Amino acid sequence: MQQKHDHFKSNMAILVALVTILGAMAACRATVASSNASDADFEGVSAAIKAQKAEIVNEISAYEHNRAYTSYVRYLGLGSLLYDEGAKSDPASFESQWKELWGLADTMKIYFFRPRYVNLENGLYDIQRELDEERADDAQFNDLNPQPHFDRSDSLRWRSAILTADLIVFAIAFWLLTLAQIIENRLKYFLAALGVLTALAGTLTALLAGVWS
Amino acid sequence: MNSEKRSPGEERFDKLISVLIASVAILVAITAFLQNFASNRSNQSNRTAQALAIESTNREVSGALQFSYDWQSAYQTWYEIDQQVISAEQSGDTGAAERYRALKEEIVPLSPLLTEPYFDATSNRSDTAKYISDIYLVESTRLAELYEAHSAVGRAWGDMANAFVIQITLLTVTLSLYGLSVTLKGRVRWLFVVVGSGIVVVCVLWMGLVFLQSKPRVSEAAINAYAEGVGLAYQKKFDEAIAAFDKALAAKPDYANAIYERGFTYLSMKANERAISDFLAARDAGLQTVYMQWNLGWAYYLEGRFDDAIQANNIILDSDPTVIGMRMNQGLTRLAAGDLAGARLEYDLAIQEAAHQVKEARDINQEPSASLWYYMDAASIDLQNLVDQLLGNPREWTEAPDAGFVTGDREQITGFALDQIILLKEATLTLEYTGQLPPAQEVMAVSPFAFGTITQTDEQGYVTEFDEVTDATFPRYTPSVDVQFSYTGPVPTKQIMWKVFYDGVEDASFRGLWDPDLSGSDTWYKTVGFNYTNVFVLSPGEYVVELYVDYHLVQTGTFYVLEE
Repeated sequence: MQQKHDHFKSNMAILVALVTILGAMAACRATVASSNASDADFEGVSAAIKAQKAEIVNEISAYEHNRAYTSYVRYLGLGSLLYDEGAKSDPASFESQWKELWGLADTMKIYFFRPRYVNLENGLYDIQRELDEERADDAQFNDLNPQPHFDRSDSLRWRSAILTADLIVFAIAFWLLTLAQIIENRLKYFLAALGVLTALAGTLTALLAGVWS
Repeated sequence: MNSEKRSPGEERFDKLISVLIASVAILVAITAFLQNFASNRSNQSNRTAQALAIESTNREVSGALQFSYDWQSAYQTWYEIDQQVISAEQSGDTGAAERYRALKEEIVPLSPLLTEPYFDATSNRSDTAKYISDIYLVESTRLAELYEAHSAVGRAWGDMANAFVIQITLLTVTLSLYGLSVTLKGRVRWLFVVVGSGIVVVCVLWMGLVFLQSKPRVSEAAINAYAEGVGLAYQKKFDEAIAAFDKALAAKPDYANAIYERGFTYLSMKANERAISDFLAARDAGLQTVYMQWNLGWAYYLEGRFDDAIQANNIILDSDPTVIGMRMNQGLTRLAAGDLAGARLEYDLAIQEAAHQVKEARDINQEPSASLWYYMDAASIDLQNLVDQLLGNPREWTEAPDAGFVTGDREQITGFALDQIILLKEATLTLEYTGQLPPAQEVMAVSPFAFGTITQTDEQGYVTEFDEVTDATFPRYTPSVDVQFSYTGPVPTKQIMWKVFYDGVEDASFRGLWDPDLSGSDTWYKTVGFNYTNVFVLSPGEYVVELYVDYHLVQTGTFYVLEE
C-alpha cells in the first residue's frame, strides 16, 4: 500500500513538473508574440512615415506645377486679349506683344507643368489627379500602407494575451495537482483528474491560440 | 548519508507551504495576464498616437503648401492684374484696363480663395483666416489633440503595466521566502511565511488600487469642439469660439488646453478677469507651459494686479532668466507699479541679455532668434502704450492697464518710459546692424519735423518750395507726405536710417538707409509714401516717422491720414 502511495506521489510530481514546463512554454510564446507585435508596430509607423514623406514631396511638386499653370493662364489669356484687340483694329499693332506672351505660355507648358493634368473641359489644373497618380506610382516600389502591419500587430497582441491568460489555467492545474499530492484520502484522485483535465485544456488553448492568430 | 526523518508537524508545515506556493503561482499568473493586457493597451495607444502625430504634421504641411499656392500664386497673380487695371485706369488707357479686367476673370477659377465664401467683392480681399482654418488648421489641431489624448492613455496604461511588473517581482520574492521556510526549523520559518504572506496582501491591495484609479479617456466630442474653437478664434470670431470651447468643456470638464484657449480668447476680447480665471483653472488642470504663465502675467498686468503679475513672471524668469520678452514685461510691470529702480534693473538686464545673445550667435556665424527683434520692438511699443494711457490718449490698438491702476508718480513714470523707449530703439537698431550696443558719441541735433508737400524744385532737383501742413493731417487718398527738417552739429559718419510706424507697428517696407551728403545744406526733405506709382495711396491712420543718425534716434514726428 505504501509503495502504491509513493507511486501516486511520484506521478503527481512528474505532472506538476510537466505543467510547470507547459506554463513556461506558454509564457515564452506570449513574450515572442508580444515582441513580434512591437516589431510590426514599428514597421507600420515606418510605412506611415514613408507614405507621408512621399505625399509631401509629391505635393510640393504638384503645387509648383500648378503655379506654372497659373502663369500659363495669365500669359495665354493676356496674349489672346491682345491678339483679339489687334484683330479688331490693326493686326500688326500688338503682334510682338502677343507673340512674346504666347511664347512665355508655351515655355510654361513645355517645361514647368504637365499638360496631361490640365482638365480640358473646365480649363483647370487637376492637381488631385496628379497627386493620386504619383501616390499609386510610389506604392509600387515602397511599402506605404501601415494598416496591414498594424493589423498583424493587433493579431499578435491578441495571441500574447491569450497565452498569458493560459498561464492562469496552468497555474490552476499546478494548484490542483499539488493538492492531490499532499491529500491522503480519495479526493486526491478527483483533484488529480481535474488537474490533468485543466492542464489539457491549457495545452489545447495554447495550440489554438497559434492557429487562430 | 542519512536523511533526517521529518516530524508530523513538519510534514504538515511542508504541505501548507506547498498549497501556499501553488496559490501564489495563480496570483502571479493573474498579475502577468493583467500586465500583458495593460502593456498591450499602452503599446496600441502609443502606436495610434504616433500615427496621429505623423498625420497631423502632414495635414499641416500639406495645408500650408496648398495655401502657399492659393495665396502666393493664384491670389498674387489676380492682385497684380488688379493693380494693372487700376494703373491703366489712372493713365486713361481704357483698352488696357478692359483687357486686364477680362484677364482677372480668367484667374478667378484657379483658386477657391478668389471665390465665395472666401472672397469679399466689397473689400476686394480674401478671408485668408477662414480659408486656412477650413483647409487645415481645424483638422491638424484635431489630429494633434487626438495624438496628445492617445499619448496620455498610453502613458496611463504603461504606468499600470509597470506597477504589475513590480508586483510580479514582489510575488516572486514571496515564493522564494516560502521555499526557504521549508529548509528552516522553529519559529524563524514562520517569520518567513508571515513576511511572504504580508507581501501577498500588499500586492493584492495594490492591484485593487491600480484598477480603481481613473484612466484618461479620449473624448472625440470634446476634441472636435476644441479644434472648431481654435479655428474660430483664429478667424477672430471670439463669441463663437467661446461657445465652442464651452462645448468642449461640457464634454470634458478637465480639458486643460480648452480652458487655456478659452482664457486666451477672453484676453483677446479684453475680458481680463475671465482670462485670469481660465488661465488659473488651466494650470490647476495640469497645463504648466511658459506661454500659459506668460499670458497669465500679462492679464494680471492689464488688470492692474501688479504683484500677482510679478509673481507669475518670476515663475518663468526663475526657471530661465534669459527670456528677454518676459524680462521686458517684468520691467513694464514694475514701472506700472511705481518701482522705477526695479524697472530700470529689469530693462538693463534685458538689454544686456539681448547683446549677449546677439554676440553669441554672431561669434559662431549664426543669427539670433527672430523673436529677439520682435520682443525688443514690442517692449518699446508696450512702453508707448503705457505712456499713451497715462497721458489720457489711448489709441485703438493701445494695450495697457487703466491709468487708475497705475501706482506711483505718473510724471516720473512717463518720463522714465519715454527715455527707456529711446534706449530700447537705439539698442535694437545697433544690435541688429552692428551686433553692438549704441556707441556714446555726439550726433547732430535735428529740428522737429515739418510735414507737407514739396511744391517746386529747381533744375538740379533741389527743393525750392515746400507747403507745410501745420496740423500734420492729410486727406484720404494722399499718395505721399514730405518731411522737412534742418540740423546743426556734426554730419553723420556711419548711417542714417528712417523708420515709419503705422498705427503703432513698424511698417518695414518704409525702412531704409539714406545716403545724401548732408554737409551741402542744413535743410533736408524725405518723402514717405508712394509718389512713384499711381497704384497706391497712404492708408488712413497714424504715421510716426523716426530718424536715426549713427544709430541714435535724433527726431520723431507724427502725421495723420484721415478716413474721409
